[in-house]
Amino acid sequence: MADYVCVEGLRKAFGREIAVDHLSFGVEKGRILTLLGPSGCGKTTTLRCIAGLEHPDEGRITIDGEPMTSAAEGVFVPPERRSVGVVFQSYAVWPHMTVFKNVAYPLDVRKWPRAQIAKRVDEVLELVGLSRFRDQYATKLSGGQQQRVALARALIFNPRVLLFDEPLSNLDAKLREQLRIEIVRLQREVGITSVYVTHDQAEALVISDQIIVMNHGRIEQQGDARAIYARPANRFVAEFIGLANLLTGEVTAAAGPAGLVRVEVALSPARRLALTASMPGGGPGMRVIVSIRPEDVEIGPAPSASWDNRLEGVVVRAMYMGSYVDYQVEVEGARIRAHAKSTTPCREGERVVLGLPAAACVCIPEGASGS
Amino acid sequence: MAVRRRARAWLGTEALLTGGTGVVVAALVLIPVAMLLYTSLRVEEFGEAPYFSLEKYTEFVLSPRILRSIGNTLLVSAGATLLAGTFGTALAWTHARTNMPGRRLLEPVTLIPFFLSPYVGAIAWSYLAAPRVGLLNGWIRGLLNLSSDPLSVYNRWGIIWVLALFFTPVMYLFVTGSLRRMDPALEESARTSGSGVFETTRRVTLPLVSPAIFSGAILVFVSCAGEFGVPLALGTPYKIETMTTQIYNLTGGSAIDYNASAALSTVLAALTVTFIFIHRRVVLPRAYTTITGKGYRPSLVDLGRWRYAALAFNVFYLLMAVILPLSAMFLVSISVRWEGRFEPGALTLANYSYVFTYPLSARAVWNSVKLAAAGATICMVLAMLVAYAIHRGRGRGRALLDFVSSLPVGFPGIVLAMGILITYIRTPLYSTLWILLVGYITRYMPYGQRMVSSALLSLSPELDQSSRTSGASWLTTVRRISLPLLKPGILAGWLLLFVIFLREFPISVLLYKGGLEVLSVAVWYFVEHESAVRAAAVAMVQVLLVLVATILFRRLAGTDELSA
Repeated sequence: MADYVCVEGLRKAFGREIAVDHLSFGVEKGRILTLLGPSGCGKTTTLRCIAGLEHPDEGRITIDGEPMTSAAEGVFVPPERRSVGVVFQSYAVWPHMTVFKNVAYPLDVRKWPRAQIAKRVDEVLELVGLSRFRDQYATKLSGGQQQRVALARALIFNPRVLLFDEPLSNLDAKLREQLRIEIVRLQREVGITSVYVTHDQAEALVISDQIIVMNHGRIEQQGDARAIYARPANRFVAEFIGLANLLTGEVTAAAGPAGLVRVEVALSPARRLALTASMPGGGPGMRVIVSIRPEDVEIGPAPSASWDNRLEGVVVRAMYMGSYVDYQVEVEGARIRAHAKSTTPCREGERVVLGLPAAACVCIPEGASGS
Repeated sequence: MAVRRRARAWLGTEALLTGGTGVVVAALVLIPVAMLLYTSLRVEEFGEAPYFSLEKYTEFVLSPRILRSIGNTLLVSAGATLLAGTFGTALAWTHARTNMPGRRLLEPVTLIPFFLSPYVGAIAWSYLAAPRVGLLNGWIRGLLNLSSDPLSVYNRWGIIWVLALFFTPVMYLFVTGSLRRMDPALEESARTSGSGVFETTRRVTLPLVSPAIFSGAILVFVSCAGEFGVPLALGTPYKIETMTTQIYNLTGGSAIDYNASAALSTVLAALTVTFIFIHRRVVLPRAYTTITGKGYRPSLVDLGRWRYAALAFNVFYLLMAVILPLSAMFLVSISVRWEGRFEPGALTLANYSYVFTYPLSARAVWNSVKLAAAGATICMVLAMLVAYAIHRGRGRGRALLDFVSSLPVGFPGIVLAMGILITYIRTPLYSTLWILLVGYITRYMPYGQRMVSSALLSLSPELDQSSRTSGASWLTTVRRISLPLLKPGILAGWLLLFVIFLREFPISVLLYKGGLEVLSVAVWYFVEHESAVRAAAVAMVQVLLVLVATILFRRLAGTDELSA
């Protein structure tokens, strides 16, 4: 099998609650895959099954072709024999040990000679930038530094797989961004195959080679960051990743080149509107949801000739957000959100025209779901 | 397949240790309880074939004499709960929420009665307020020129009074715990909403701690109903009997009837277990979650001139519960004889040297220390494994183990001792120190388990898990991560159990045989068969041992550990 980490038909229930529902995916060697989803979607349970901290009810997990968990074959390799490094949300840095002792622990239990341990620990502490905290008690450090200790401890024994369980959720926004970049750098540098769990879509977009969007223990969509953002596969993904204006409607005709179609959408029960939207392979009669990101919506006092779809409306709210203005525009009973540069402000109550570029109006077949 | 073998081996250590302990603990608890019930349903008359019957319940328990003792139990427990509830809540509030002077100093001393033996407290109070020979009686008689004694402890009021004094700290712990954990913002928002200090206390603070008050009251009631030493010391002289003294009386002498004793034990256990059940199912789920992580100091209520009244009340409690009884006992223990008056001219240490040379009491000191050390150690090992199985294990039946292992908390000592006596009387354990050890462990292991559990719950399971994913086995993880992190909790638990075992009375008195005396039994024997001065000396030895261990405990653990 080509995939280094391979999960097949994984199922785990807690009592009546099904956390993971026949999940299958793979991670290529040296790549980083993110499981993204709201809390309770089963992403952490999946990660813990890979680590051997959870016993799945069904399914098979292999690392480098070697079975780690296989309910059918009765195989369960305990966590300490899987060679996986885990970085937990709570850092899980041991308070009764110094930074050095924490990081040295995995080598210590592997019975490495003392001198070699010291050398390797210093190397890894250098890598995560903690050399000067070497002999301090780990819990005296800040959250960000503690998470670096955890990262160093997970890396030090060159595990076959690195698992991240929402490692940045306990940190403040600035630090989160900084560590996010650092994790990407480290992962590329050491090239360890990684699985990263988060509910933060921005984190997922930055970090991952591949993203799996999960909900109710199932995969909603799998792909790289760009594909998932630009072409959400269903309503859940469109709503979960970023912001989207969603309009339901029906394809009336194919509209010529580049997979464009004509769609009649309902703005309100009484008011329908025809749009040109993008749907490769779409044909008349299909029920669809049209998704438009607010940043793709154009707004101005008068229409521009280049706009594909034009809607007239009234600004009901304009919120200044710094780099852009967040507008809510009422269009015949529907509210459309638009994010526009703050250089040409429209005022609340002003009549405006919205432009929806056909290529940014993405049609999602209604009722679509990943699994 | 190598992998499969390894998986088995790994499951082995953890499953075997925690699962095995679970089975042992369940057996320790359930067999005596089952034997108690079984025995209560049998009639075994001499010379007749035994048969099953409800007779012991329908005839014996419902006889006027036993009904009267049940009434006494309910009466003294209710009275003591009311009084201890008032004392404990008032002390807690003045310590945690007012500007009463000296509250920092008073807090640790207020808890002293928690560690002392109520039985010894009752004996000490008899030196203060027994008719004729009570110190207080003498003073008041002289002061007011009375011809008869104004006070007597040998009645229901005496029992209520001593019980209330010694169970006030339980109440105090519940209420201070709740007050200290409360988010100060709850009171502050009442203040900013426009209510004054006293109105806030009345309308916000007290309602928020009412579940804690109720919890404390239930626990005090159950403890009082199961208390054996106090009614024995203060009720027996004038034939005031409670359920516990009846259970005991039926195990020996002319009225011996194990079946009847078992039936009455079952009735008492049903009463206390019901209360504990109500507490767990009804009170605890209704408790408000008022905890926040922020460590702001709550604003204190300015009592004005009333703060001296509050201080006076605190001092009154300490006088009654600690200073007067312990001083009286000390004075009696260094007197040549005791006739109700302290004679500074006739002082001696002979009573103490008698205690350490008379075989029974010398043996008792040594037996108590041995049993307390061994019992506390075994309890904490079991407690650690049970807590691990419950809070970290994956095995089925964890909820059941939690229930079974904490079941003895609902059983009064004398009741469980009765079950243990019936269970082990025909085994080689009987008439060795082992049966006392088994009794202590069965009854008090849950206290240790709760200490370990609360320590374990405050540790993230990810601390263990990251050790496993770092490559350490379960055993290595326990040794290098869990044990060091749990060490303070385990040590505090050990010391608490050590103190409890040093002063244990009901289990010891029911299970001991000649040669197996422990400190409390020696006190009781001396009260019955030796002079008052010598009895006071044995009791003082127990008090001193307990106080030393208590001071060590306070060094290691905060008061929070006690209410856990």
